[in-house]
Amino acid sequence: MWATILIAMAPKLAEGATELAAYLISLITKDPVGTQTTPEEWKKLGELYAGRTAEQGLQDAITRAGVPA
Amino acid sequence: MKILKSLFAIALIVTLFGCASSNTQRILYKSTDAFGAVVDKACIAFEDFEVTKAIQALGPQATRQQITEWVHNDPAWKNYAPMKENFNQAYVAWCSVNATLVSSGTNAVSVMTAAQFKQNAITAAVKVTAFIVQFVPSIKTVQP
Repeated sequence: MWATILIAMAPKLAEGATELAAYLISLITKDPVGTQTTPEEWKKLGELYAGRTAEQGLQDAITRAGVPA
Repeated sequence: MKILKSLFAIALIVTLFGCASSNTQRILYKSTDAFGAVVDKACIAFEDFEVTKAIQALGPQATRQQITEWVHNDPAWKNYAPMKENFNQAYVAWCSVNATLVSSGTNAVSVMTAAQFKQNAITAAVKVTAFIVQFVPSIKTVQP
């Protein structure tokens, strides 16, 4: 009898456990529950650094120093 | 009952692991982003330091061209630039591999390959950051 009840409850228990774990992860990562990283996000992150070459960094630093173009 | 408890505990652990793995990509993305931002901040501090040194050497009326040339000829910059390029390329490649991993699954790019790209990016980051760290006392004293 207990086995039947446990088997019947298992999907709900698993669902609850999953949500609890996702919630705990979201607390740690400060990210909404269930959010997944998309390939576009990775590409954007890569593109951001592709543009941050040493030469570009130097030109940006000169601009920050207030030197006109 | 003991067996059932054990089975339930195993099921719970499996569920938790399953959930954790579905969020792993998000955690990896966050940590990669934060990792890149830390290295980038160090690079920006060094680049500002180089420009400040150039302006102090050339005078406040120095042109953009003069400052660029002065920095290009500075031995510290000559060492820094290839390291920075190396980091950029390794980091971009790592992000690209992760994008492929997310879109195509682990069949397209093996986890081993991704780990190698990650290792390359970390090695490059450590090199450029370690180089910048030796200038920290000077960066602190040189005022823009």
